Amino acid sequence: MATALINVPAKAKRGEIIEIKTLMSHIMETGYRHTAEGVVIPRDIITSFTCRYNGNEVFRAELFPANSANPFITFFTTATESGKLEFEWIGDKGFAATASASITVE
Amino acid sequence: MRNPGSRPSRRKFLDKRSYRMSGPILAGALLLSMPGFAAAEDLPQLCRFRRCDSYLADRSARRSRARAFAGAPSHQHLHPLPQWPVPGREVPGRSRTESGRFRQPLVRRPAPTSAGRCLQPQSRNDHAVLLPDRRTGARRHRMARQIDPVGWADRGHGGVSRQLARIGSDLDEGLLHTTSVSGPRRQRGCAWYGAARDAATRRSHTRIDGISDQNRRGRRRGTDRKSKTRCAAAGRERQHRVDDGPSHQPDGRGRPRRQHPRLQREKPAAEHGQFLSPPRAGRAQISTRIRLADSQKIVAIAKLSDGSFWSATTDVVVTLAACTDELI
Repeated sequence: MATALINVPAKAKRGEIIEIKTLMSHIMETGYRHTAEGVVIPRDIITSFTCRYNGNEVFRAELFPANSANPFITFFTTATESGKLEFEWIGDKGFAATASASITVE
Repeated sequence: MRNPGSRPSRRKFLDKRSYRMSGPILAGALLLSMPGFAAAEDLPQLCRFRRCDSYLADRSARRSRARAFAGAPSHQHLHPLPQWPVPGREVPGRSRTESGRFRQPLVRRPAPTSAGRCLQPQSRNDHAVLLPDRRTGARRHRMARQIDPVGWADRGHGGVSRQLARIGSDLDEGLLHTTSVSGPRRQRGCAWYGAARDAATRRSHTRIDGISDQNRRGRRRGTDRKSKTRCAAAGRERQHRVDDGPSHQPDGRGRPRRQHPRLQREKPAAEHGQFLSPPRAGRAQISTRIRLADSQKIVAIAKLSDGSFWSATTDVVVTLAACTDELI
């Protein structure tokens, strides 16, 4: 089961720029490797990552095989209002994972 | 004031009865090197061109001077000096009792080539080349220097390279892209920044991985490379951060929106990712990790909302590859 680690400040001032750190555990198989029998190992990566802040998309990333395993992404956003941050990872083989974190804006 | 030390040489030259060949070149050079004698009017006019170290070797000057004598056959090589006997006392600076050992021939043999000949002065445009627009210009004056021709990094002249331009054309607006351009033996990651289209041109700096790799007012040209080569210590995974600095204007203008890292194929891949940084991101800084199979060059490219592209490059030394094609 994919597990996600999310680091979002619990409180922030209005208009403050906050840093969000996310880490999703995933093997991120590149698709370039092959077994001893010569069979290519199919690609299995996370292809898309989205972050929504109260329903509004604040960050999006498209990932490629060059990403490392357990993709770690940090980004910034502006704390505008209290609410929920929703994170979504979508990958090959029907991989989909979501996570959420709440933030209080003073 | 004449230099007394050069008098014997001058006498040798003026003596029509001398037929010896001692030191013609040295005598000429000595005369020229001394200002007092160079200004003397009784000396024959020396070569006016440069490299006049041996006026005796100038045959053309000798012939033209010989024609100045009336009645002289043109086929004879005559010396400018008078051809009739002159008493020794009439030669200035020479005593009658001087020994014949110092006599010089009237007409010398041709000087060796090494003695130097009078050459026409080169024009000022001698070093010029014809520019493509058929104007003349100084050679190598406006030539663009290739920063890294092997690695296809020549973006210093005329904008981004073809590879980067191609990638840019593939971008649709509003996304953040990270790609890498494959080189012959290199791989590189690129980060694309895109931004809202209403952004104004502004100063920005793009950083990769926290390395002081800044691109100031770079337009589309290459980076002001201040990158430091860093060693990816454990090697396997490397943090890849692309930072486009002052992008937190209240109106959200000038914010990069897309970032694409890319790696060369199978090392493990030329493309790393695309990252979109919308206006409300506040700070266009992204940090992630990337696989590196070999020491290579990583390029981060940011596309801003005003359509401009910014890039930063850094070299990474990998000590332990993360994405080798090991068998499982």
